[in-house]
Amino acid sequence: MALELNGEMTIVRANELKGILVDYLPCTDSVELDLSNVAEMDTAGFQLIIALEKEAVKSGKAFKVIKASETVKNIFELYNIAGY
Amino acid sequence: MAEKNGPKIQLEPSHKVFIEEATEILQTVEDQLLTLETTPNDSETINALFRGMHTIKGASGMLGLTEIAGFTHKLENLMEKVRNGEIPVDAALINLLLRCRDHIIILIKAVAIGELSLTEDIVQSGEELTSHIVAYLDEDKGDIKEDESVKPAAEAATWHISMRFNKNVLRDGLDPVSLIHYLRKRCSVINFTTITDSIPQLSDLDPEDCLIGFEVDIDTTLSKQEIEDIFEFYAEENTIKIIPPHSEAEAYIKLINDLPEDTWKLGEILIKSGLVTQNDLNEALMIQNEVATCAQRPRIGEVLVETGKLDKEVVKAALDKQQKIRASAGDAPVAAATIRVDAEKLDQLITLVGELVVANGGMRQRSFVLGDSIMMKTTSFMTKLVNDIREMSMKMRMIPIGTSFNRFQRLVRDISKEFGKDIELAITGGDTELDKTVIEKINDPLTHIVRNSVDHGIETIEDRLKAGKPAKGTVTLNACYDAGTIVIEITDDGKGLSKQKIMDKAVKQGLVEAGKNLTDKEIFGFIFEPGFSTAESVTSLSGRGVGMDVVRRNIEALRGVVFVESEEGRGTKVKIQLPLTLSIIDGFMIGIGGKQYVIPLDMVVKCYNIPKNKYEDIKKKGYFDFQGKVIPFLSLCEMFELAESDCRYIVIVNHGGRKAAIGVDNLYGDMQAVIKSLGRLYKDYNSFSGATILGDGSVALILDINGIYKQFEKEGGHRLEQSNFN
Repeated sequence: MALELNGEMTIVRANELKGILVDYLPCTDSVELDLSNVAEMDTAGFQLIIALEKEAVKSGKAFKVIKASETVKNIFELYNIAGY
Repeated sequence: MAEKNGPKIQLEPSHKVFIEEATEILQTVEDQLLTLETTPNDSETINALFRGMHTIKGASGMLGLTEIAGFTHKLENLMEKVRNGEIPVDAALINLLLRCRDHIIILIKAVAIGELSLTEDIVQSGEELTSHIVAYLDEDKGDIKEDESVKPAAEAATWHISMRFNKNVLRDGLDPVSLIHYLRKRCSVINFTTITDSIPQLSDLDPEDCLIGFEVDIDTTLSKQEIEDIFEFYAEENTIKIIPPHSEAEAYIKLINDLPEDTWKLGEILIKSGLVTQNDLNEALMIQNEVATCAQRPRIGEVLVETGKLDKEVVKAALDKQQKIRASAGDAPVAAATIRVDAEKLDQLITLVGELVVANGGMRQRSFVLGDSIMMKTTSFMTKLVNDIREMSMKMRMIPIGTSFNRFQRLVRDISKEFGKDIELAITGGDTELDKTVIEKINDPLTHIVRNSVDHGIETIEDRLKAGKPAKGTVTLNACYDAGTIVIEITDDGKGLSKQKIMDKAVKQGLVEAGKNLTDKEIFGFIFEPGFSTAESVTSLSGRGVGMDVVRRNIEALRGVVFVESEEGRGTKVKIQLPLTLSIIDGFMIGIGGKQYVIPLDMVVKCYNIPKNKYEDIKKKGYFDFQGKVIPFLSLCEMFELAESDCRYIVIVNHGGRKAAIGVDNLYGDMQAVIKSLGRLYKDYNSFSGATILGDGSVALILDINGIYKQFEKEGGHRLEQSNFN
């Protein structure tokens, strides 16, 4: 079951997003993120995804970003993180 | 998003500080933008602007002023692109930035009145500006590549930069995204590794912490200083290590040891980047381990200097840093030489000093009555001290008028743009100091006069060229001292005032009889009459004939005068004369009907001693012959409904060029009068501008000559029979 995140993934919503992700994790065996509607992402948003991946990998779940908006891609590119 | 219907908030001290600081920054921002207009490529100024926006954003974010933080955030992004050279500085951009700056001021004002909910207007204009900013931000996406070709390859050398951030970086409103963006923009990045080791699994993450780190290799020709400048905002509390090209392996080893991450992982990154070889690394680690076992481990720097391997860049960087430290140490005493004091406290001080002057006066008088010589000596010494304190405390409120003048740069620029004129505002005497209250109160009248000069005075470029003048018009603001007063002159080299037009209009309005011979001063004086305007067209700024009378009223309220000199075709000069301070004046004390009154000394022209019968005669006629001129006689006894008095003197007073004769019983001479306001109860009594407490504790009213003139005019025809002053 993929999770779609909308709007901004920034420090402003960081705590709220963490809550969403924490709630989402137990509901699925394979973490799939749809980030195609993320309009803005900053370092806080980026860290959330890394942290989610770590937790997923630790609990033996697959992790994948299935779709990403240009903004998200730009951040990943900027930080030279490939493979999503 | 706008916090519509938000609650009224209590203005906290932190908000107050924010408002003060932000207002100051924005004032500077305005000046900087105007500077940028003349020198668009001034990177210093662009950087300063960026910093200004950044500070406001950070501060407002910290205080939870989301509306301001959100807006300035976008503005900061825009400035960042400007700084990176992605967006060229042109008139359109500066216009936008100026409007954005104004918008922030409005937002801050909303905070100042404790109003979190914004009106529709503000929200709308905010959205409009935002859309402009976004347009700019989107536009340039394509051109980033362009600059990369410019990058000189020849002398480029590889630097290694290691970044670890303070946990609170994100909360403080910084985002490494923009840093990396800027870094990538300035330098060509060869290797880039994001270190995510410190990020825990999701459930243990505080999502507002900054836990990310970077290991970056860059090829650049920038100097160490320039690279450090990239990290300007991150210099404090973050671990930014910059390793110059050709550094010895030791430098890298030290880096590896200093960082919290796994040694070999970092080693790998470095080896991968080719900055060190596997051998170097092994060797260095080994040597270091060996050395480390010895108790006297030499510091790496020492080793390097000894072996002559120290890169000259390193030496330079060290020197730079030393210089920086020295410079800031040199600045320190200067910064400490001024302190911020609440203006209210200063006002309180002045009030207290006023009381002191009064109390001292009483004591002095009493000591004379008692005739105790030792006490007289002490009191006279104290009088001197009190006078010194008075002068000092008055000086503390004096601020240079220049800041007030500089605000008009923007005004002149905006208006001249709107009307297609080319106008320069020249400022002289900006360091002339004036009481703070006076400066605040003079601002509105000055604005009006400057507007008039720019709007009506200076002609359009074509008209100017036709008249054989340079295309560029000049408005000059000048301030200087003149015998205890300050004179402010607003001069323009525009078309001047037409005496004929003013006369025609004055006749039409019934202010003067046709064909009467008037002096220039009298003619130009008409423009200060209510509802008087010779402008043929009403513009958005002026021409409606409201204004100059308000200007005069405001200036007179400050006990000042204003008049106009003008030459048709050559220009106009408006001259404002103001007292230096409002709270203590030199007064001239008189007695009427057994009561004491004070006239501001600078309004007293002359005193005459006259016999009783002549006085009766003057009173009956209602005028006085002063040096061959007829001036009105004012009977204050009647105006104030005092018991009939024994007038032996005539005092000639002058205000704004109008003279009058006042009959008085006694002359007591000049004195220092500490002005006390009369309070709201007496607000309709225009004849007095205040009261002062005399040495013996009694109260004397200070006469407002201008108010008395008005009162006199109002009573008009039946002035001698009865007075409606009650």
